[in-house]
Amino acid sequence: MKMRAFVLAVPVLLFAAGSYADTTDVKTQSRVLVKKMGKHCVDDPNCFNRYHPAIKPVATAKPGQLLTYETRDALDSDLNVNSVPKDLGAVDLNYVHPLTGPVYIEGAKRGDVLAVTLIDIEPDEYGYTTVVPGFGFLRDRFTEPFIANWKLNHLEAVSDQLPGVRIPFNGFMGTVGVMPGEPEVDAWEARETQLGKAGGVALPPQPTGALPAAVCGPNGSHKDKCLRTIPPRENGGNMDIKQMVVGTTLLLPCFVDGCGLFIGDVHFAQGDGEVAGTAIEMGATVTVRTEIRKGMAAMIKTGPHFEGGSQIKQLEPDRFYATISYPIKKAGEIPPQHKYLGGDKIGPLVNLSEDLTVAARGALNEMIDWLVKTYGWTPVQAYVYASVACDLRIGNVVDVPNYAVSTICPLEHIRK
Amino acid sequence: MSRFRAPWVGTGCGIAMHRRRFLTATAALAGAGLLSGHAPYRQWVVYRQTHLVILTSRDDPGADDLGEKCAAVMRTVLPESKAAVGRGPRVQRIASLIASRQAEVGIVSQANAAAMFHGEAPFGDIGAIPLRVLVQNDVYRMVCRDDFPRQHAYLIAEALAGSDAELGLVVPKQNEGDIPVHAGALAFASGVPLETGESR
Repeated sequence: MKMRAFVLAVPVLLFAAGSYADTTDVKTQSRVLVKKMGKHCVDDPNCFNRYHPAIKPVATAKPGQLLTYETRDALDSDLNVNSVPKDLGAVDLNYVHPLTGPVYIEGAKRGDVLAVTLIDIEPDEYGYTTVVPGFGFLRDRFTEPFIANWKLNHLEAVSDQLPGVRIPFNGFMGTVGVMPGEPEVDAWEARETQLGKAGGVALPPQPTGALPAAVCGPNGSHKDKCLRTIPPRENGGNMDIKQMVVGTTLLLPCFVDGCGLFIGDVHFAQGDGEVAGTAIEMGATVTVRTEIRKGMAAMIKTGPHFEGGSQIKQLEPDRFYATISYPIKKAGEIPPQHKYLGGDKIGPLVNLSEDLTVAARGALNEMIDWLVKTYGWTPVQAYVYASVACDLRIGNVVDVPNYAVSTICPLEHIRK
Repeated sequence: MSRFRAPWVGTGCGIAMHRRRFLTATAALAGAGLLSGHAPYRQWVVYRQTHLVILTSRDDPGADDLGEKCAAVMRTVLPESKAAVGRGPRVQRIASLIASRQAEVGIVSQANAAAMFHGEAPFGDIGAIPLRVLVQNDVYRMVCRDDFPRQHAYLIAEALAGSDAELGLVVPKQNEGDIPVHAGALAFASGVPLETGESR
């Protein structure tokens, strides 16, 4: 009702005034623009794809200034609306993630918190969701490549690969963070090396394709210390938290003077879990505003915090269907997420104890089967829908041994 | 099916044995890749090393067309190869993926193969790649790294150079100064049998 009254009031006021001013060119706030240059990150001095404190800032901004970043898609890809699955077979993961920045925030010091409020996201016209074999939460079930090409605007995304589906725009920064300091690089590299030796998924520094080449490339000054951007860490990065929408404020601990704020890998929309491995991935123009909270970084130890208001309510479905599952599996099955720990103990068990991963896999598999049966989709179409729209939610972590996880899918986006 | 077999392969279980060997060698290759520390993204590598991904590029439709035909032949002759085409945007992507061990096999023009081998433009940023030739026709070469398993090279050469799919592919003779031909492909062309249990 309020909106309707406002819409009616505006023409009345204009009529009363008799004329109105064109305010398009009136600037009341200063803005720092970090432009995208060239077709790919390698062509762009404002783009990088590894973390190291030796990577120099490309711009400087004052707290409170509007700060606009032109960003690239997560794969720095050449994918387009005509792309087909075989185009995924030649994606080069050395280029993940092309990030815009870093930007030096005046006055920010190590130990401060940088509060980053998301002001606006302008989406590109194209986005994609991919199923890459070997990647994704159900990588043991979905073993062949698939791509959904999305046509985007400010309202919604539609795809020929998911006919009848319209995904509303709830954009957020999939990757946003600050540069680590030397102590963080050393500590994070050490723990990830340890994990890799134990058989876990850990990505060592990879100079091939690393940018900026002068620091991280094959002949770079710190080629063996530049961290990959795929895992999120205490500095933020590839967190993929869908609630970090316009109006919310992200709190990042500063590890270097000036913080080195970077942004990239923007998502048009995503479900909690991003289960297929990708959301609706896109390039975008992102505007933020920063504030320094002096000496507050000690409060942020495990990962960034974020705060907001009613934005979170806008993400909830109008109508939904949900599945629930527990840490129960088939005897002999070793989920891919558990293989690095060895299967001697897990394999024979049907019921695992207090295991959210197995519970989540069960709820997601059940939802995919329901979507297939209800809407006549293929399983991979259902998987993609779950990745961009459905939420994995933890129900309880107390009812031993069966912690409960649900998959909640909005139904109002499906028009069949 | 029999026309795809090398002369020394008798009737019966020859192809089946090859398939088993291909799988065995694939697993060994994947394991080697993981242990070598060169795998930049292990989950993806698992796919690329359990499928024979033949790289082509969008900027060379002829190579892409040939890649599709080769993949179809491979899927027929050696289904366990799970051959598929991976199409990059430009030929430089093929060089980057092979150089960084994210992929094994690609089809490029003869000129581009030579430039990749020597690290010349347009591949100067990537550097020289230790390529080997598997098969070729008048225009294109199917190339791989020098450490590509001998058995794989043998079976690919057998499937593609021995096929009548009008691909026009042959295992070339080794010419001095040219990109070396893979030892496995040469073994097939020379009529040397692939020994049971041979993995490289």
